[in-house]
Formats: sequence, C-alpha cells, structure tokens
Amino acid sequence: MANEEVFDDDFYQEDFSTASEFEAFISRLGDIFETYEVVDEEALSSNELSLCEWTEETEDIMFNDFNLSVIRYKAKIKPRETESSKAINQVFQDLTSQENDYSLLDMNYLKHDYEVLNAPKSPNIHPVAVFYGLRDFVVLKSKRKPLMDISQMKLLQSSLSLAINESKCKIPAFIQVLYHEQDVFLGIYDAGEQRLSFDIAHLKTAPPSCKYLSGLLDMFKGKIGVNYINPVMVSVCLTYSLKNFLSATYSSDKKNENDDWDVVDFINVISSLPFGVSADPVNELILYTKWPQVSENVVFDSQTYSDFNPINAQKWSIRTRFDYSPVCYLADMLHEYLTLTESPEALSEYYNFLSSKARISEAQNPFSALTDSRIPGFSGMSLLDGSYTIDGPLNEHQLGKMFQYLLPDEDDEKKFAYGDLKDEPFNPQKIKSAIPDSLVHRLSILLANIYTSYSGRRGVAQFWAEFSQKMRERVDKCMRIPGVANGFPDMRSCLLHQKLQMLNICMERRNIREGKLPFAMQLLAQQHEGPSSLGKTDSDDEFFDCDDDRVVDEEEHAHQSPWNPVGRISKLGKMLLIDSDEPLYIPVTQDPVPKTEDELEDDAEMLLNVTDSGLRAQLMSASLLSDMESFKAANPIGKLEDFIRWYSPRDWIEEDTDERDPFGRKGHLSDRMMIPGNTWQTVWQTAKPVPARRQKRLFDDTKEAEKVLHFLESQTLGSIGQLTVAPLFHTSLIKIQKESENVKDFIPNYKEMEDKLKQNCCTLSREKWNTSKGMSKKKWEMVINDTSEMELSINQARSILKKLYPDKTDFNDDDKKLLNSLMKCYDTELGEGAKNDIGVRVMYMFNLARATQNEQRVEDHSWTLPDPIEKQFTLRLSGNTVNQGMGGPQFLRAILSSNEFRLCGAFSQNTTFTYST
Amino acid sequence: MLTSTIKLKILVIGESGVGKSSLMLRFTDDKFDPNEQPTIGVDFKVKNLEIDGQRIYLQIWDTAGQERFRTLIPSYYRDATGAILVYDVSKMNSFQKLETWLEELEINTNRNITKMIVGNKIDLQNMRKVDRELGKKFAKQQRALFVETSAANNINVQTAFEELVKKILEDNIFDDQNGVAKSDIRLTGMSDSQNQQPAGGSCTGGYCGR
Repeated sequence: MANEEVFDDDFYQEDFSTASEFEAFISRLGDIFETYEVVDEEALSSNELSLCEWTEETEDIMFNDFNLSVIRYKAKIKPRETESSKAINQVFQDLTSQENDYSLLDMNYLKHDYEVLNAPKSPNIHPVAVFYGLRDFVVLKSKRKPLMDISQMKLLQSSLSLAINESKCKIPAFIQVLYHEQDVFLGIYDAGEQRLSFDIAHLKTAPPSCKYLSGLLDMFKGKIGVNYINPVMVSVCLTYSLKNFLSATYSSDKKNENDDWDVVDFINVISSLPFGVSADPVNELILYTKWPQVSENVVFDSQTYSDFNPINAQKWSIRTRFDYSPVCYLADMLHEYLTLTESPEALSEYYNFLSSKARISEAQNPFSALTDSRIPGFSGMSLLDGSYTIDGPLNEHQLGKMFQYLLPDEDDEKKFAYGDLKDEPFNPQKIKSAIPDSLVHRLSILLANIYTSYSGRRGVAQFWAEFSQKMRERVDKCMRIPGVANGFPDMRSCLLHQKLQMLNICMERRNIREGKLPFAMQLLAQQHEGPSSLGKTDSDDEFFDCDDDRVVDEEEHAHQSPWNPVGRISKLGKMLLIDSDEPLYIPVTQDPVPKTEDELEDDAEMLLNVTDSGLRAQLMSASLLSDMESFKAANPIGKLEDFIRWYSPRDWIEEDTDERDPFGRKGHLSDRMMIPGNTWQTVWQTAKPVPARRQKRLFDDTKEAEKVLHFLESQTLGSIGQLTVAPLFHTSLIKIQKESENVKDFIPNYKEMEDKLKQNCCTLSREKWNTSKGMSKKKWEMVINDTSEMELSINQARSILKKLYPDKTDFNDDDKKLLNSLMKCYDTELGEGAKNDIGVRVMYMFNLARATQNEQRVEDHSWTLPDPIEKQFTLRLSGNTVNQGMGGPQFLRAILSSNEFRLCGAFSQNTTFTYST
Repeated sequence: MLTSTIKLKILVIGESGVGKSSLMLRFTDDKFDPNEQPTIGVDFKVKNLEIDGQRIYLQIWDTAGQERFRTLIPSYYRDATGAILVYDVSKMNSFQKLETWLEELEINTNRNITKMIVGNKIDLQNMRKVDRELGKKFAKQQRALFVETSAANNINVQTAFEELVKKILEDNIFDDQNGVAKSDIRLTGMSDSQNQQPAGGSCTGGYCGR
C-alpha cells in the first residue's frame, strides 16, 4: 500500500500512520519474537531431547478469524561439565547431528489418550523436536479450528516471514497446519545468508518412488538443485513388531471363582492374598535395526535389491509396549473389600438367615446352634455339618480349616503356629495395624477372601459370628489368644488388635487373681512337660516376674511392727520414716489400668464434660487414693510427708543435710502441698491402710472382657470392614514387598512408589473412619491406585523377564540397566546388534512366532525377520558445494509405515547469491 | 481463611514442679499463683483465641509430672495436635528428662504432632542451670519450637502458645466444614502439598521468643 502511486492528492489520500490489521499482526508477532533470549549451548548428546525437560512460553495473538497461540518450546539443556566448542549455528548443528534421530520415548504409542489408570503421561517433547532434532523453536498454532485453507496458510507464512525478518528472530518458527493430530508444520529459519524452509508432507500411503532409498535420494537431490562435494549421509531404521509371544506369554494364576475350593490347597488359597494381572501387561515387543550413518554411495536400496538386511544392522535396539488395561488382582480385591465398609447391616440380621438354613438341616434352637462351639472335643452340636453348598456360606470343613490357620493352637498339627511376634523398632512410618502375620492380619486376609471371592456378606457375617464366639469360649476357658502382641493395648496398633490384647490381659489378670500361673509360665511348664513345639512367646516377662522375688517376705517383717504392715515391695533407698527409725517401704500397688483407645476417648470426653476443676481432681484421684492406701498399709506409721517423699520427691524440701542423719528425714513439704484442704491432703485423710490386693479393683477384668466380647459381637458388617481395612492394606504392602523382591532393582522409581504407599497407609491407618460422603473410603481408594501401579509394574517386570531372560535369575548391572530402560518403554540398545544374547533371544521369538503361524518348525539356519512395520530414512547433506562455496544443511526424513507416510524436509537456500556463474 | 473455628488439643508435659499448670493458668486466665496444688492426673483448660483472622478453640491438657502418674496420663494424649514440653531452667534434671517425655509422646500420639520445648522459670535468673543455647540446640535436634518463659513474670507465655498454634496451623490441613483438626490427611502425591516431608515436617524453621 505504501508503494501505491498517488496521482491526485485531493482525490485519494492514504493515512500511512494507521497500521492495517495485517501490519499490526506482524508487528505484534515481531514483538513476541524479540522477547526471546537465545543462548548458544553445547552440542546435544545422545537422546538428550527426549530425556531433558522442556519449557513452554505461550502468547496469544489474533490473526483474521484465528485465535493463535505462539508457543516457544525450549529444551532445558544441562550445562556440560567439560567445556566443548560451541557451534557456529546451533540450528544447523542440531539438524545435522544424528544423536537425536530416534526418540527414546515411544512417540507413536504415547500419543494416544489413554484413560487407563496406570498409563504414562504424554511426553513433553514436541513433534518438531522429534522430526528435526531441534532444541529451541516457536510454533504458531490455531487454538480451535485447524488451519486448512491454503491461502490462509500462505498469508500466515508470509507474515511470519516478515516478522522474522523484522525482529531478527534467532530460532526457527513453525506454523501448524491441517488437523492438529496430523502433526504437519511449515517453518522458516533465517540465518543471515542462509534461509532454511521446513516443510512436512503427510499422506496415507507412500508414492512408489518414495518407498526405497534410491527414490528418496533422487527426490532429495532434485529438490536441492545445488551440487555438494560431500555425499549424502543416510541414517536408516527398520522397525519390527512382535505381538505373539507364545510360550513366553506371561500370565499369573488366580484361583478361579468357580473352582472347587474344597480341594486340598483350600487353606493356602484362603490364607493368601491374590497377586497378578488378568492379561500379559507386555503386549508388544518392538525391534529396531539401525544404520546410524552410511554414505549414499556404499549402500543400495530399491524394490528389487536392498543392502539393508536387519541381521547385519550396525545397531539393534528393542522397546516394550505395555497394555495398561489388565485387572490387577490385589488392587481389585482391595477395591472390592472397601465396599464392605459401607454396609450398614448388623450381624444379627444374618443370624436369622443362618439359623433358617440350620432349621432345614436340624430342628433345634438356631441361635444356640450358631453360637455353639466347634472346638474339637467340645460337646457342641455342629450346625453347618456339611449341609451347605459351596455357593452359600461357609461349611464346617471350610470353617475348620480357616480356624486352623487363625487359631493354630486349637489344632493338633499346629501347622500355622504364629512365629515370634516381635515388634519392629520404632518406625515413624508405622502403619497402625498389627504385627505382620499376627492374628489380626490373618483375620483380615480371611475376611477379604471370604468377602471378595467366596460368599460375600453372608460369609463375612457367619465367619465373624463364629470368630466372636471362639473368643468368648476362650475367655471362658481362660485360653490366651495367640498371635496377639503382649502387654497393654498398644495405641500404635489398630483398635481390633487392642481389643484382643485387652482380652488377653483380662484373662491374665484373672489367672493371677485366681492364683494360677501366668500364661508365659504355663507355656514354660508345658514345654518342660512334653516335646510339643508351641509358638514361643517368651517375652511375657511383664507378667510373671512381679511378686515372687521382690516382695519382702511379709511374715518376717510382720512381727517387727505392731500395726502389721502388709504389701511391701522393698525399702526406698536408705530412707527412714519421719519421726521414727522405721524404713520407708515402697508398697505393692494396683496394676495400672489398661485401656483401649476408644475407652480413652470416652474418658477424655467424660472429663471434658465436668466443668468444675475440683471435681475433675476428685475423679482423677482414684489411683492416688489406691496408692495412698497401699502406702499406708505398707507403712502403718507413715505420714503424708513420707508418702510425698516417695511419690513426688520434688515436693519434699530437704533441709540442710545432716551427715549424721542421711535418711532424708529433715525437711518439709513444698508450699503447694501445704495449701490447706488441697486434694492431696484430703485424699490422704480419707485413705485407709488397705493393701492393694484387698482394695476395690481399679480394673475389673470380668467386666472389661465382657465389654470386649460385646464389642466384637455388636459390629455391623461395615464396621467389620473398617476395623480390618488398615491391616488388610498392611498385609497387601507386605505382599507387594515380597512379590517385588527379585524385580524391584530395575523397576523405575520403585523405592519412591513403595515409600509413598507406606506413607499413605500410615497416614490413613491413623485416621478415624469417616463415613460421611464415603470420605475414608475415597481416601483408601486413592491408596489402591498406588497399589495397583506397583502391582502392574511388578508384573510388567516379570513379563519382560519371562520373555528376555527365561532361564536367568541373577542379573548383573548391565542386565539391570537394560531391564530398567525397558520398564520405561525406552528405545533400548543391545550391544553387538544381532549377536547379543538378548538379540538372539528376540530373533528366536520372532522366528518361533512365524513358524507357529505357518505351522512349521523353527530352523536354526534360516532366521529372518518379518516385514518391518516402519522404515525411516534420514538424508543429510552439508558442507561445501561444488561451485557456490559453503552450503547450508539439507535435510529430509521419510517415515514409512503401513498406514502413514511422512516426509519432513528442511532445505537451505543462499539468500545473498542466488544466480550461479 | 476459614470462617469456622478450629479445634486444637495441646498437651503440656514435663517433670513435676516445672510449672506446667502455672504456664497454662497464665495463658488462659492471666493469673499466677505460686502455690497451685500439684496436679493430680490430668486437668484441662480451654481458651478461644484468634490468630491471623482464624478463630481457634484451644483445649489445653495439663498433666501431672509425677512418675506414678505415667501410666495414667498417656491415655489423654490421643488426638493432640501439639505438645508443650516444659522444663525448669533452674533444674538440670528436668531438662535431661525431656528425652523420656519425648519418647512417651512418640509412643502415644500421632507421629506428626507439633512440638514446642519451653524452658520455664527464667525469673529465677541467678539459679539458672540450663543454658539457653543448650535448650535451643536440643529443640533443634528434636525439630521442635523453642522458647524460654516465666509464668511468674509473664514473659513469653502468650507468644509461646501463639507460636505453637501458628505452627500447628502450618503443619496441618483443617476440615472446612466443622473446623476439626485432621492432622494427618496429607497424602503424599495426592494433593498440592507434595513437598511435605514425612515424619512430621520441617519444624526447625521457627524459633520464637527472645
């Protein structure tokens, strides 16, 4: 417009100061380009573009009707440790380098939009970088509708060209045209004298002339039109695919739900968690045979003859392709088990069901039938006596087997005796469940199997009812519950475990109360009697070392004091009672009161509801009173001062120690203890000298045991699920750890995955179950995603092993490196090409597949590969031309596959001297 | 910020006679009584306060320091989001015993309880046995906040509680709906807080007080 000649000023006036829309666009684009900082970096190393991170800078711009994004893609290249020479022109250098010819990542495969859980995310690398090996470029891309119109493209291309010229843009600029998924780009790069134009052709099928190297070479040279001194350098890659693995197909066995599960290994099935995948997670093995750099004049490739025999290729590499859709059995089970947690039905709703079943077989009181024992030798009527079919709830035989596993001490064989239940050292990541392979863990495994694979809710109800009943019987008979940690309810373990610990304590207390031996000693006695090898629980010393040695013989001391002191443990150092020469005795006190976490919560709640702090002190003083009474019984002439000297030494202010009286008798109570009417004093006044064993029990074991049994019996199905979720996830984690043993070394990020799973289990196991909106269930479901990811990886790894290392179990570092790379679906190079062990194995599998398909035998001497699924030729030319001095780089890449043909060209032109002399 | 009130439970533990009850009383009622009767078992006080526009309902559980109560008290540790471990700067022994109290905490509470170590009774300056630096160093090791206070002269008591509450708010996510502390709900890799460190966070950051 500016050049338009204006003849008559009056007739036609042009306002040159107002820019047209077109000019505004160019100027805006130029402005964007000018903001780009370009730094020269070192040459790219092999596969660097696939491995490095990419940054994207996006700007929006309008052009006619198009909303365009201007996106700059830049690889984050790590600075080199050793200084190397920098290129004269980075773009030229990248284009001529063959280091990034083949993407490490599986571009074709990853482009799909998988909605499957474990599928990897799309790679960061942009197709332009894959096609041309560039590290820094800008792409103009229409935001919505694709750019289909040729004239629009041309217009945009020329504007781009102008903008580049004006802004001296230092990086190649591309326009994405046609449908986005076609990945077609037109590009320009201006390097002063040289101008590069990028062009991509994308077709369904290749024209015949482009199918072989000879045709491509002709086309390439024709397009350049200038003669170079150097020959064209060619890089070739032929790709083969293997999908039929035959005997190397990986499968994991899972007990079929329809299988007869009354068979011999029933107990093995029901006592273990499933693990595995429903289909081979490796569904394709890709073999690349490559000739990275050959000169055009030493190879020949046409329809009739080809030098590119894959067996002789310079490089071999392989890649795995995974199927992310198989069901992971363990994760699937966990998922299903979580549905139990939402079930509102009470156990009693199933009692009716069970008993009505019973009525069919035997006419008797259904409830007593249900609750009767099945302990061998106990005179109970057996309700279920084989009258159940497999699809119904559990039959006698099955229950028997399960309880053999759960309560092995009731079984004569004791095949499943619990090991030493030693707790691990302090671990902040500890999952709040129970010790591995303890009763609670076994119980959760059984319940999960019953619920998910066998008889669903009815089975769970029946089994739980049976379990509660067993617990009641054991309490009645004072039989310690096996597989439960010793000692007080451990707040770091789950509530169910605490409850069982509580039952054991109740029985223990009863034993001692009734003058029987504590459990640990009973056990020792049994061991002395016979050779029966019980699960050893030698850490019970908490219970039996109390009275015997430490209590000073009361008889002996009884006569010394007129007031008959009772319940003494020992003297407290050298201390003497005030105003007396009697020693100060530590009294035998009542044992501390064990509590489970729900009781503690109730206690705290109760205390919170008492508003008067004096009253709270009263409530709290029960144990103080008990201790004071014991103290008085042991020290009949003792005073509050003496009690304080033992109980709260800091409230006894000693006066100048007299060396002749080292018994701590000189002193006075602290001011705070002397406040008139304080609780300590009032309690002291009310305390009577009563030894601990004659006091009112602070802990009523009968009542407490009954409370626990009632707790067990009053669960709903949902709460049974909730009680066992954490232990079940804990056992799952252990299962995964065990299963991963020989593959974890080469599973990428295995440690991170495991830690994350542990951490999340640990966190959730400590949370209170929240049913509103299925909150807790949802959180655990998220944890299942981690489980499933690990389960899948482990199976992927095993599948790869089965295919590539069928007989090997020891892996050296090279093997591990290779396996790790395959686990990442990387293009993984095999040393020595076809001669490599893995190469031979791959070749064998290809030939086996072919032979099977043709119903032939595999012959050793005539190994061949099938037709390639893809061929890729990369043609490069650079250096001096014959008669025009230094020439720019010329580049052509042809990718031929069965349903797609792509040509990516980058041709340079000398812009300063276009006519030949 | 959230509009609902956040409920926090804080424990005050330490040897007998270090001034646990006094600290609490100074904070809740701004009172000091040198002759408060020794706590029996546990007791608690509540206080409402507002920090950075957030309303907070504090439940402070005061405990007895006597050895004999040790079996009773941990019962009340449950669900605590913060703990104040108190020692007496004039009694070395009360400082040395902190390790046992920390152990007690580890066993009985959630792993990422926010801890603060408090050296009390700095008004008894001429009887000081525990150097400030010593306390500070120990707190750093334990990834706990640290402050020295005097309940008698009202030095730093308010700050101590407030700093602890602030740290608790940083360390935890709270339920919008009812403001109940859900101290443990940060799942690694599932929320924005991916960088949260395991084992209870980066408590080395803050020191408050003078």
